[in-house]
Amino acid sequence: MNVIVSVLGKDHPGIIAAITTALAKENVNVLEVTQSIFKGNFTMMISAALPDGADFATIRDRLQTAGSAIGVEVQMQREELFSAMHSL
Amino acid sequence: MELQQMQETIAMIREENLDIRTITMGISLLDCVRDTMQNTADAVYAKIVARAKNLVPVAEQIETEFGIPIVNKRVAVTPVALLAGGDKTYDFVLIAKAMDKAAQDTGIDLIGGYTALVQSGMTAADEALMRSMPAAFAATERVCGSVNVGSTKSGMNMDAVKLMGEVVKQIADPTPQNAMKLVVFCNAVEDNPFMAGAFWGVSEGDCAVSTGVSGPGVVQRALAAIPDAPFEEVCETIKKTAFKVSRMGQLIGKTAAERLGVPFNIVDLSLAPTPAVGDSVAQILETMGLSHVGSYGTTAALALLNDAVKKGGIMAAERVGGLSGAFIPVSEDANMIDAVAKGHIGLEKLEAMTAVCSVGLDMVAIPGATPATTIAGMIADEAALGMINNKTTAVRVIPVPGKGVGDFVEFGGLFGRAPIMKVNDGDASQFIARGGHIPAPIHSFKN
Repeated sequence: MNVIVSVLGKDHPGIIAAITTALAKENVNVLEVTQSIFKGNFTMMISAALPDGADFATIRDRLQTAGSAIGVEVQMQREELFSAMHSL
Repeated sequence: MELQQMQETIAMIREENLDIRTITMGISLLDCVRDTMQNTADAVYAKIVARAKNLVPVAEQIETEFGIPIVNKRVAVTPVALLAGGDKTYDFVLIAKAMDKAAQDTGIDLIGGYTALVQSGMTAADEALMRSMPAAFAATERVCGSVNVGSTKSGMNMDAVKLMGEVVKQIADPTPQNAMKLVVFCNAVEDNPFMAGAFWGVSEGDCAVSTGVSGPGVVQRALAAIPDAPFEEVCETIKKTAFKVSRMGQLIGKTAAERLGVPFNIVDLSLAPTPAVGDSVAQILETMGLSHVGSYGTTAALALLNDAVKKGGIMAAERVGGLSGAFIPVSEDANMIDAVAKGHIGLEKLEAMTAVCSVGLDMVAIPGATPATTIAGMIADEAALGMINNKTTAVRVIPVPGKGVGDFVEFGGLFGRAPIMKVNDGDASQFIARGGHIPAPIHSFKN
């Protein structure tokens, strides 16, 4: 299952490291990363593949815990939501 | 995919109250008719539980994976007036109780279909069901009902209009909140997923799911970004937004249908407000450039909104159905409540708006002393608008016992609060007492 992990918050060193480390711990494979800074706000979207049989809610909760530890908001949603809305 | 597009989707859900307002499972009860009403009620309970037992868990699973709220999980059933079979006791309250228990045991929010379709004429069962509504809604929590009193093809059943004026008053006394459970329709649709008017038409299959998508906040934010644009651009902006929102409804509905092992029926994109700030249809109209909803220009603004929502949604989903448009319930819309409380809008302007919105006079609180014949007159006027204009119209008014103009009534939660509105004090009793049937309009004869 492919997902989009979105990370939003105030920019500071170590955000990418912390989030990708948390993903690696859950054996989540990163496929693509897009990231930008606008007026000091950090935005990152990670396209990733969950391992087969993964428990969605558990992984999402662990990512959110990792995010709140460094002061950013993390969400994980199935990729189809975004592609359905924006591509024909 | 562009970062900006992904951010847009996330902002719609997080900041602009975009949600799946309902996943509604339609269930045919035609195979539940037995020799007695009690046996039918038992079969109704068993079938609803069998079909809907996984509805709430599946909806919650989808909420988790897609990160989008699914506010209500509902069931719509075959119009119950059709289930009397050979039992002439017509004790329909037994079926209402079975529906309510099934709803509670499966965890669904509301169950619709305590319904009679009487636009052409009433059977004894239809009339018994209509007369049983006060008892049925008093004895249950989650059961909703509707009565279709007119249609463009059949005309208007004025005996039913008269009766429903009386029934609405009886339902609301002593508990006005019970009147929220009833919608009186003209041109009711068979696949509407929204309550209180949802039922599962007899031409539908055994079981399927539909989605109702909302998001007035998304449309309002998009229009706020183009304050001086001409109307072509306003319409294009609404269409694009409606398209995106409907695509989400299609995805979620189809996913739910696959997991439940039933067909996917329709997406209904209806801008349905909630009392939350920023989730208002009236605010969309005001954002188009009106000082407040109710000012001149309001009907035109609502007409373009309703039409652009349909145009945007229609290509986004495999099947668009239900009501699809904009709802204008007074008590569920913060800006509408404000406009009524300040005297900016009255029932006459609301009635004009119902000629171009997707439903009708909705969640309107009126004085408890309003005569039944006056309520019947309101129903007749709304039904006439629907019959002549080939559209669905409806009346969901709430006569509040002991309260008058200027008082407020609290409904709670998504149902909000409503100021009691002034009702024209003219007397329609002689008109309503005529009874009989108003024939279908000339433009309905197309064969």
